[in-house]
Amino acid sequence: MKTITVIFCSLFLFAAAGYGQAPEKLKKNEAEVTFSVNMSCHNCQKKIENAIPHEKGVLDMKVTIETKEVWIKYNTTKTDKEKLVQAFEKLGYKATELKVEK
Amino acid sequence: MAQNIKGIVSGHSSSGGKTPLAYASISWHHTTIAVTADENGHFTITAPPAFPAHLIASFVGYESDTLTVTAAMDSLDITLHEGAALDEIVVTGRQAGNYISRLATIKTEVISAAGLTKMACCNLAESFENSAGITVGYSDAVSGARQIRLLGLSGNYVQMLDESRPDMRGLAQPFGLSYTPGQWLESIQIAKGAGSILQGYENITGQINLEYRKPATPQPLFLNLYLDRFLRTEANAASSLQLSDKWSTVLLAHASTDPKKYDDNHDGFMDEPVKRQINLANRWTYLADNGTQLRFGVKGLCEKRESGQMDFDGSRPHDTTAYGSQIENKHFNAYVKVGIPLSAAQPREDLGAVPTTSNIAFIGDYTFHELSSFFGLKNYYGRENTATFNTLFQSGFGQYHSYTAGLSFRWDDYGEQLEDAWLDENRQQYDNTIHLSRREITGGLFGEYTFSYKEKLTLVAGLRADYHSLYRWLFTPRVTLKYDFSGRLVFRASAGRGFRTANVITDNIGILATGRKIQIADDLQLEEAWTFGGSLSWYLPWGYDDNASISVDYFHTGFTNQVLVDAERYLYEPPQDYSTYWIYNLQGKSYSNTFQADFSMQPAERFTLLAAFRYTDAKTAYADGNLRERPLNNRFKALLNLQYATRMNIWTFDVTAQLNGATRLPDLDRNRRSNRYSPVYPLFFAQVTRKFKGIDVYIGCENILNYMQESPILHAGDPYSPLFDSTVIWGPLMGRRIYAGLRYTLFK
Repeated sequence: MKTITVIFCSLFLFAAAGYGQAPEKLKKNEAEVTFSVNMSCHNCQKKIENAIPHEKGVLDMKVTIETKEVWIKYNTTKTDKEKLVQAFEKLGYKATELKVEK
Repeated sequence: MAQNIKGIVSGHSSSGGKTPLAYASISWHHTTIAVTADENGHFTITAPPAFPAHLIASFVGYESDTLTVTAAMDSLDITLHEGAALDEIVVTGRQAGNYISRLATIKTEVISAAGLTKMACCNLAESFENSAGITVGYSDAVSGARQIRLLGLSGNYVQMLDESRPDMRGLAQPFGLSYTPGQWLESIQIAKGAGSILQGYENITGQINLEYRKPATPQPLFLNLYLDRFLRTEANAASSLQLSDKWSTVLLAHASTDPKKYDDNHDGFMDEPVKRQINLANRWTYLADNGTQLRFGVKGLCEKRESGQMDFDGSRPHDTTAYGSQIENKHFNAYVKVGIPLSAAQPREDLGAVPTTSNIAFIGDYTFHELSSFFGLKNYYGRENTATFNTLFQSGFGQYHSYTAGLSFRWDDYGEQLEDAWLDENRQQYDNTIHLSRREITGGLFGEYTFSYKEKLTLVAGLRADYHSLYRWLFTPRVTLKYDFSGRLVFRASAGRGFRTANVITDNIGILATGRKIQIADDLQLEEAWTFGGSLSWYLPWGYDDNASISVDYFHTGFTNQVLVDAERYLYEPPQDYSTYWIYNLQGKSYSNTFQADFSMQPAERFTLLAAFRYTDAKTAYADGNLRERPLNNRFKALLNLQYATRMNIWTFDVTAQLNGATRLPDLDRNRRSNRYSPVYPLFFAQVTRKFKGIDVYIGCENILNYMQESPILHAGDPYSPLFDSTVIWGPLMGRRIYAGLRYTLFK
């Protein structure tokens, strides 16, 4: 029973440790871009999530289906916005950059 | 600013064809402005009070879509995709594995596609490890049959639905959970308590609805391969094909084998049967321009299992030197569903509520199931033919009212024969052949009314009257209520009655894997119960996504009649034989109370936590009229699931810890004390998934601590003695299971 308690407690600690992490800042050679993509369903989302993360230089991505937006963080030495747009085109989607006011 | 905004709504876009959705509903979110598209899917809607605004487009049978519209847009092209028909659950972003549906009227736990990939999930029986509400256990140590328990009662009282169509009932029940490969499914919805009357009167403790991979999903190929330490090998394939803009089909295939005998607990018996299964299904969808939908499909399966002592030779059945068992199942199902829209949709103030169009639906279904088996000296053969036909008419009136009314017809034909055989203490053999064949014809009339007011209040009241050829008139009233206090606090309550005919042998298949005599009363009645319950769900702005939830629920099921299985009668009625399973009608009280609490939150980005606790109090008055705790029923279950994914879910780590409560052990062995309890034991599961382009590879371990029930079979050394019994199972029969698998998806 003691080992069980220890295991349960460590699982909770592990859970608590992850809490409250601050959003990361952009490092050197990193850039972010938000595209408006003509996707309309969860399968489009799945398809994008299946392919874009494996494109060269893509570091992070978030797909928001309600607003049809795809946010991408990428390594500027390995890819650029044009290459990312082409990657969407290959999947059959049109991606246009959204200018975000800061 | 544009005065009017024009647009078109189409259905199920693939890269090629789109079909305009006639009479789709379009509205601005948080306003009363709503219109209906014309027969070509075109619509004109007045501009919203302010931009940007959210436009909601919905159509029955499709996933609703919300579009952000800015002032610059005056022409819209909206495409909806065929989707969940049961309730509109739209989950976006990172999908939670298990969650409590916010929209469903009845308390519903959803196991999403993400949840289905958290564990090996070979088949349905393994899909519930992250759910505290459902426990899955073996019915005995020989047949390998898995039983679920919901609300502290056997899975027999849960209605299994295949996309809202009753499935796995009758003789298919004991092995039914292993007949649905987890990889065929898109999601599972577990609705607790008295549900809708639309699917019949058989749901007592809840409904489990399975949503399969859809024909219109643009995934021409999905492939899954699995292998584990016990050499269980499994292959699943799915292919969704869009044949034209109207026709689509999905092919589902499964083959698996457990080829090797294992006896890790050294009791001389195989820990699990060796088995082979082939399972194929094909589903079709046709969507006409006028909104008419046609869906049909077939499913066929055959499975063979062999079990018993390690040196049992399958070619020599009924061999008294080595105990053995063989079970062969054959199953076939065909169905057709037609839905025809009769009128245009009414503009509705209330968004996300019930459908507003009038439509009529016809559902026809045919099932064949054959189970032939022997367990030691006992032979059992069962054959079932079931045909059902349902007609539903759905419509609404006024702003807030809608209703469904219909007729149903069912024809059940069961041919069952049990050749019971047992040895007494002096090794004298006795035989008794029991014929259990019956034919049931049931015709019913039903109506369900839904009142839904501004996303705040939903009330569903249903009543069915069925005429049953054996049990005469059955009245099934059910009511469910949902009230949303603030968008953050939701209250739900339900109450209702349910009935079912017990299939005494297959409901309790484990009693065949014993050395006992089976004594069935000849006046068995229909089982009848009432279930009441309520729940509260809070949605709290905690965690990374400000969307934590706490939910508590309580349900009570009380039986008016129940078919009881009792092997302890000799204890309280001393002259009775100690080696008999008595099957008889409930005389006194029988109830179950279940309390459950669930907590889920995302403490950090891509890190989810799910904790749940269930407590059950289930008691039954057996033949002497005294209430006893129902045997082999977990008093509690606690679980914690943690999932962490790296960016873009490239790596996913899952850990689940379960604590399983004590169960009362039936006193089947005259040498032992009564009121014994099984120990409380933990189970741990872990899985790592790596995503590559198109391929997910996963490796995991079930039962990490290698916890196994010690000597699960009573008198395993003497399987032909009257005390031999393999039904007292409360823990794992198999030790640590390391597995690996891959999933390949080809997107169109």
